[in-house]
Amino acid sequence: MKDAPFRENNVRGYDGNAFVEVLAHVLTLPALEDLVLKFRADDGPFKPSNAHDRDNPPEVVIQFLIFRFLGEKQDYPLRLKSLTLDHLLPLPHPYLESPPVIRLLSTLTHFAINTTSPCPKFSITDPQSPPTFQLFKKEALSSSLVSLQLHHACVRSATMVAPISKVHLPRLAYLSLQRTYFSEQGEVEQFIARHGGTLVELKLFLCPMALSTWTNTSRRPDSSRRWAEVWGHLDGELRVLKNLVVSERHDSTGAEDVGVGRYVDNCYSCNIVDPGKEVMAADDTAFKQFQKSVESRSQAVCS
Amino acid sequence: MVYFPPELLGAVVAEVHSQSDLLQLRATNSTLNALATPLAFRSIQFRNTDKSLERFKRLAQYPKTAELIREVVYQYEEAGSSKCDGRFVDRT
Repeated sequence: MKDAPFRENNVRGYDGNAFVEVLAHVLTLPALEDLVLKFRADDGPFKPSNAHDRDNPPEVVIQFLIFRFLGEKQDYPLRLKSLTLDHLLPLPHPYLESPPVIRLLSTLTHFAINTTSPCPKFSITDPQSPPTFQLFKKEALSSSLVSLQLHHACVRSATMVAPISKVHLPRLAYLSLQRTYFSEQGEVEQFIARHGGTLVELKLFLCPMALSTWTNTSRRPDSSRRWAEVWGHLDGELRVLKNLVVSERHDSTGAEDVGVGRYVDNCYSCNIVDPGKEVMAADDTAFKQFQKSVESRSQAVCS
Repeated sequence: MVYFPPELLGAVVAEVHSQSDLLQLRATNSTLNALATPLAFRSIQFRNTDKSLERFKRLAQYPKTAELIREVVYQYEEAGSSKCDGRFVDRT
């Protein structure tokens, strides 16, 4: 069991009973549509524990308590429309694959997953380690979804959250990605293109192109995917897109982050790479063309 | 105030976003109570503190308020922060 340490220690030193009792009340609220779970106060570094080494950070313990409760509770009548998992520590969790959780997610029209910074206590949350797990299974992304948000606090893969290469969401109209890397494998690019018939809004904040997806290796820039190719591809596929936001310097809250470049050497170390003026100019030209197509579509609607 | 059309009062109350203001409006008279109550309990937040958990439980157990709650926000609060009363403070 991947979360075995939690099973041993999860409530050691903490009284989770009152918390779990409140969760039981939440799940019986007859008119509840939106649930927002903010697992941390912010995405800053985890504070080192001043207690025993075995203790897990309390915010992670509560995250575990919540998922365990949702996974074990069988009979809640909720029909949630919107779920936001904010400052989520991306840890593998068997309860996220459980039938009760899949049922809970099956009615969503909006799903936002915002992962937080790595926790030193759990090395698998370090983005410099190759991911060995997926947070959610394919079934977690319901066909009812109209809006999907995958935001990371540090550059990570989208496939770590869910197997997006296998998913088609027939109603998906709004997609927002943050610090999610693109790559030559093109899983993110294909996911976006696959929804070309329904996507009306696409937002990309601080999403770099990883020249390599192998640990500690950098491929020569001239053999990798370029943004010019991505923009050209998406321009051809996103037939109903009316709102396009791409930011290379600011996150979704408007905060500046110069630590993520247009190209990075590989998806783990994420060192910024300068591919040269010609490549950058070709990217800019293709993006402007893409932007022009989107603007002409949105102006056609307004006039 | 008594002669204000209810539609106009409703539009004014709909612009009040602070929960404490809405709760005060509820206490003004029966008309404002009827208009402000659904908005006051539309979104409820709870934290990992004794006081917050107890307050949420009271609201959720009372059917008239429970049926008004459309959104629930859980916000983690660090032990030792000004608002935290110690429910999750390590006792080992």
